[in-house]
Amino acid sequence: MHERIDRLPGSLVTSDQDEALEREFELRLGECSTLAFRVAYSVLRQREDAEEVAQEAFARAHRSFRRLRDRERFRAWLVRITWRLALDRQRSDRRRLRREQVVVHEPINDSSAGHERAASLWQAIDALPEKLRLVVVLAGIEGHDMREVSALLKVPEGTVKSRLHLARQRIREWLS
Amino acid sequence: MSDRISGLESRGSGLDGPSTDAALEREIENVLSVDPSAEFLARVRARVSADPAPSRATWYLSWMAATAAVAAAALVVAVYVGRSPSDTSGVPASAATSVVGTDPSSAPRQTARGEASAQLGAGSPTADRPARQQLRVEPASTVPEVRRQTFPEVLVSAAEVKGFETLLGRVRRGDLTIAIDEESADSVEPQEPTDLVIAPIKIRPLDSATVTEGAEE
Repeated sequence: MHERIDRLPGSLVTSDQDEALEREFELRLGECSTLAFRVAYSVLRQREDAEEVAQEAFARAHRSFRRLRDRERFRAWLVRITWRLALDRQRSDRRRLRREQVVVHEPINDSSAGHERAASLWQAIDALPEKLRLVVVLAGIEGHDMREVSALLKVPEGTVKSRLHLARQRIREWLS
Repeated sequence: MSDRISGLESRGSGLDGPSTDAALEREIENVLSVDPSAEFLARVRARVSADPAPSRATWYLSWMAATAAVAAAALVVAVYVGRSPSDTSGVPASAATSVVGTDPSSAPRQTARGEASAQLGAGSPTADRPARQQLRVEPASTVPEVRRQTFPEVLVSAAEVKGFETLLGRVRRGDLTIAIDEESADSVEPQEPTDLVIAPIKIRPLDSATVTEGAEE
């Protein structure tokens, strides 16, 4: 743990309590970095942009980490911060692109079966309302089950189930 | 993972779409299974280091500052609300002219009785004694609120104020000497008020009045 603290040379470690907080944050950072990146990527579809947003989300979380009473809620907290930041970034990018009148083709994930198929899937996901989209994305990241998605979104499992069903139905309709 | 999301069967599938929810889920997982670059974690750590979390001391300091700000705001509100409207005179603020005494000892509280006595003594030479008191004429809107509470406004017509100022100026310059005729002053001295005698009202008994009314009918 102390080795990890050494990786944050700029941190203001002023007491044992602060040091413990830094250690805990470092632990959470290691656990949730991919999750934050994928949440941002699901919105932005640009690796560099997603990394920047995830970095910003971690910086904000670090700033307010002391105020987080229930540390077990860190994942849900980070997901919400990242999702909001990614949406803000997406809106500002779209405004900028509209001003510059540049047509940008979003890159397609190379790991998918085919570019066209992946592009269609992304279009279908993007067409979903925000609530349905977030459920689909979180369910598709790291194999989250209903209980985990419910905990991340702070909504009942039944709500997650119905939203997911509706979202998949719309995606299928879009793809067909 | 007891309640795996892929458990739901698809109710309807498109021609080109996935046939089951499980297939659709796998496709979504595929497009989302993008890993960050190898330097991502290091960059996050560097970013977090560059933006250090507030220490316990700064945390308390920020709270103290916020508390002090709230207390100051509450104090301002309390002072503002604490000003009773009854302290100010009943004269509307839009009055054309107000005279404010600068000598607090010579500025009595303005009451109805005070106004009455001032009117009674207006014609006497003693009424001219306020000449010693410096008077300043200001528009009512420019008088500060606090001073308005301490020295109540007295409405005086603009012509009287001008005449009074002229009089004061001439007295200061020595152009005018005030001589008081004691005899005339005595003659103008107001008389002591005598008791007002009111004869008691006599009321006839009710029975006799009824009888009288009946008799008239």
